Amino acid sequence: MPAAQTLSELDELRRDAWNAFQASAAPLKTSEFWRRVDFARWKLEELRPDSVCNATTPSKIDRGAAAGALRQAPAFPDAAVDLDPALAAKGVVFTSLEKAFRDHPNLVKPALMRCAGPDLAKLEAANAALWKGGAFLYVPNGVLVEKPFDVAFLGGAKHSFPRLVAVVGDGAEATVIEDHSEAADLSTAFGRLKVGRGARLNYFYNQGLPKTATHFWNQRIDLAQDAHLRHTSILLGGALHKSNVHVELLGAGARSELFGVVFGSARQFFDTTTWQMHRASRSQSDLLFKAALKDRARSVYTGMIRVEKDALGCDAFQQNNNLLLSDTARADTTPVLEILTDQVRCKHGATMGPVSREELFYLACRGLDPKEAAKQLVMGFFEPILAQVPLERLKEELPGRVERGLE
Amino acid sequence: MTATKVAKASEIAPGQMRIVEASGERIAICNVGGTFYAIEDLCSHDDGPLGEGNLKGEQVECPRHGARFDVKSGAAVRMPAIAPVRTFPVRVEGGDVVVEVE
Repeated sequence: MPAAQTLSELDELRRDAWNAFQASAAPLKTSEFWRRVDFARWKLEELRPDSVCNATTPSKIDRGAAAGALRQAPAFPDAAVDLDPALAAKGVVFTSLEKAFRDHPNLVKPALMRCAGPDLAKLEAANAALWKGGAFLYVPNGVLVEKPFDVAFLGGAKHSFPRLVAVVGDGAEATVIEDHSEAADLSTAFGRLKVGRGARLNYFYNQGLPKTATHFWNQRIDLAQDAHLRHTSILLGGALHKSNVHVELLGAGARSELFGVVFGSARQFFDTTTWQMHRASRSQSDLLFKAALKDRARSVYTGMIRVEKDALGCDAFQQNNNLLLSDTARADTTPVLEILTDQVRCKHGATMGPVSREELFYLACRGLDPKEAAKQLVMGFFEPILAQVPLERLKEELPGRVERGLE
Repeated sequence: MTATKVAKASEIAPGQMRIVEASGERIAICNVGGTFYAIEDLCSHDDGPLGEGNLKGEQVECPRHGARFDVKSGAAVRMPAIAPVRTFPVRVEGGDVVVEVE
């Protein structure tokens, strides 16, 4: 198909989405998903089809020690990309989603289908209508990539609609970091990850926005037979963060590990939802979400585990731990389990409370003053997850950010 | 402290409540027999909208699970809430309800 014709097809999809956006109502406050967060904070009513203006994408970037690096400004059709030529030779595609739509429509089109439910439909339509550029990664069957792909969405506009699609082929392996630390003040990100048979994806999401930002993130992940997902969300920024991570364990023996850390201070509000959907037998899922909150920060975590009737021998686990560092910080946790089969092992648990007095006492005995001791305990609470980040620029920055927040 | 005019006193009849916003806080203004009180519009049990519930004497009842709070002190007086909600100083100035938020 000639390029021009395919492009107009994308414009058509955007026009349809814009019409759907205008025709759809804002979600009701009475819906459980929007009960605690004011939908009006995203100011969608001020959007126009052309309201995401052009911002500058760096003309050149250096991938450093990574397998590839990609930077994408809000309304720029082409991303700045630096991909290891040896990987390009093996068929790895790492480019803007817009370019990938032209060059690899079979891989990209299915990932652009709108599929979110009524609570998310309006945000999804807004993103589908207004995303520009985007990011796309394809790792062909059997290709193993050890080094990470470093993706960052940039700001420069009031609204931004980032979109990342990553497809990891059968038996392939990849590590992806999606960074939203410099995105716009009002951002609505949608993502799709697809992990093939026996493939592995190690994925990190870093949200380190300024404390004035309002951020929404929806991600849908499909895992094929024996696929293995390791997924880490690092949520430190924004005034308001709302996210919805939906994992579909579609193939037998698929495995999903979700990790999350939240550190909130001042009046930051984090509302996170996860879905571990076991659609096939012998699938395994594990989840550990940890939040530390000071001042009047809040975390609301909702986690759904569903095991279908004919999904036998599944194993599902969910754990949410919250450290409250002030009397006015607050954490809420809502586990939801829908188990339709009886051959299953499923557990969930949640804790919340202040830093342990015994641990504080022990550290004080070692000569640490109580403030320093509390800081050490919070750092220790996060350390196991932050230490996993495979990108030097973040590895150094993240612990420092938490530490500064504690002071 | 920021003082904000949030309503005309005459608009909220005795026994009635109104939800207002001041300094980024959602606040329920309650008229108890002609005296005004202001409490956080957020149930401490499950984030229910207190201002959409009923004012029963000096107590407000959450529409979600029936928890009750004393509008004067914010104290939780009936399960399932156990933690208090915040209260705000409120006064009537020239017919306007003025609420003070930190």
